[in-house]
Amino acid sequence: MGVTADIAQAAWVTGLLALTTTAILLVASPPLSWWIARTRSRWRAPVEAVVALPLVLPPTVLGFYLLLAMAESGPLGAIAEAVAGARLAFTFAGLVIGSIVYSLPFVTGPLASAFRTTDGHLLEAAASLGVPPATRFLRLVLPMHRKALVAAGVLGFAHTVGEFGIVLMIGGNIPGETRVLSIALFDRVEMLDYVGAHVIAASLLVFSLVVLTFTYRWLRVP
Amino acid sequence: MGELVRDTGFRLRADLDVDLDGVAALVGASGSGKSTLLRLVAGFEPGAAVTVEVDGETWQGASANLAAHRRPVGTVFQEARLFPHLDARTNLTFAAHAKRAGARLGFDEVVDFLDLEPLLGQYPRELSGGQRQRVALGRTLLSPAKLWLFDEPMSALDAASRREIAPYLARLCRRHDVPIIYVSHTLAEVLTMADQVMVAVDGEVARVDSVGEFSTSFTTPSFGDEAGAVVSCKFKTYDPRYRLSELAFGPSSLFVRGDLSSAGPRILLHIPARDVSLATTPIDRLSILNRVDGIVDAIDDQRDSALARIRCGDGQFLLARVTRRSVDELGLAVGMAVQALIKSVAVRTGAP
Repeated sequence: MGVTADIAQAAWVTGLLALTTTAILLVASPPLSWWIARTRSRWRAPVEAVVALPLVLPPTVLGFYLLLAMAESGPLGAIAEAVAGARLAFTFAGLVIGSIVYSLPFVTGPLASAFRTTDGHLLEAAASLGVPPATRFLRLVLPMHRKALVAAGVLGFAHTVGEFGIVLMIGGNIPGETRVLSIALFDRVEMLDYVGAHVIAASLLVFSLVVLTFTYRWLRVP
Repeated sequence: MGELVRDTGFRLRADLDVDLDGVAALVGASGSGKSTLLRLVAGFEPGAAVTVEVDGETWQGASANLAAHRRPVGTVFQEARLFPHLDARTNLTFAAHAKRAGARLGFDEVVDFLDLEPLLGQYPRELSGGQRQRVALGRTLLSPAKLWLFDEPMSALDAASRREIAPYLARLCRRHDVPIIYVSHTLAEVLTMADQVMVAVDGEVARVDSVGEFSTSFTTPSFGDEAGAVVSCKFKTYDPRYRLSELAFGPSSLFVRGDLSSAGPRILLHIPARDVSLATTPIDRLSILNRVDGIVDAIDDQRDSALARIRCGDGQFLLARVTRRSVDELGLAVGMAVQALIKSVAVRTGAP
């Protein structure tokens, strides 16, 4: 396979991984963020800490434990085997799970901050009209925070595109399956193909810069 | 309803058993627990250790806590609380997502009643304060409810917005679709809207009066210049030549402009004390039509003037604002026969 085809394939895997991860996070994160923003439970701090772990731990630490969990003898691996008859370690599905864990704080954090600013008076008004909590969340809270939702999605996407350590631990380097751009870049450097490395590195740099610039600009528009 | 003990030591006692029909005003000084009482009924204080029982159902108590959205109660707040991302129409129809029993009015009827048609396409930020509160009112009317709670719906508005929305509120209060508990600290509002008045003092609902009793009771604080009596009359005849309706007020007659033949069996009139003068001898030739004989029941000396309560033929009271000089010159005293000369009368129970 040529260099260009190899990079294109890695870009495809990366994009697909980031999209899948972001989509799942945008469904799973809002309820979790809402709970974190509103609960008075004593479990809030521990849950917040678990969610925030990827912010402080080396990705290889998370990757190592995820790899153990996804192994055929590990809990996640056993579940996947029993339910779907599939392997998780060194597969795209395993990468998606790893990315969800890894990018969770980048979606949940900003959303929780935004949700904390929700005007409780409006929710009271909706309750006084007879509207149940789930509908209040879907029809009032989410639309009122749509900017925060988009921003959280962009951050989650960009962050997934940029992951390396966790992918290396649980995904390996299988072309078309788990070889993402950051791994491909590492390969190029290993092979002393600095031109190819430049293509990938510069693309990722420009991509991240453009995405973040547009997001921050858009967030300021009233 | 039971007892609420807050962290602040504030105690609310409201052993209330009120037959709600029409509009029950809840009045009292600020801090007397009026709004808290409404919040308890609406279900916004789920942690409070109280018993809330409505219509024989326990909504809140030792073993039950019905969530706010399941209580068939619509609340109109001091602020409009419109949903900022939805236009007026979608705000109005938001209660279509309601999951609870209760009658609701029709959309067209509510839009018509509150003149909302021109506002439907606009967003809350494009509406004036009074318009926003009108939309909020409509939104509550469109939610399924057996009871409406109005928590000082005009207090956050400026004078112009208040004038704009007051007629709508007054007309709504006359419709009797659903009983209303109306918190207010404005006497004029109570006298023009309420049928019954609950008086809260120091976190306790001290008494429940008819609006007539309330309006002429001197124990009601802060009458000021708004003092006036609310009296109940019966329709007698309409004279189309002068366009005057004759109403029976005890043995006397009161004449009111307009045809009130279809206003119902009981017509409430609001008679401001400042528009009632007193004469100690009958006066024959006078442009004032409405003259009612009565006995001075009490005189309340106030700083600049006095308020005289006059018992009329059928046991109802009128209030007359007189100067203290007049009290002395006429020798007004409790038990004296007087004639009350009424310069203006406002019909409260209007023709439909």
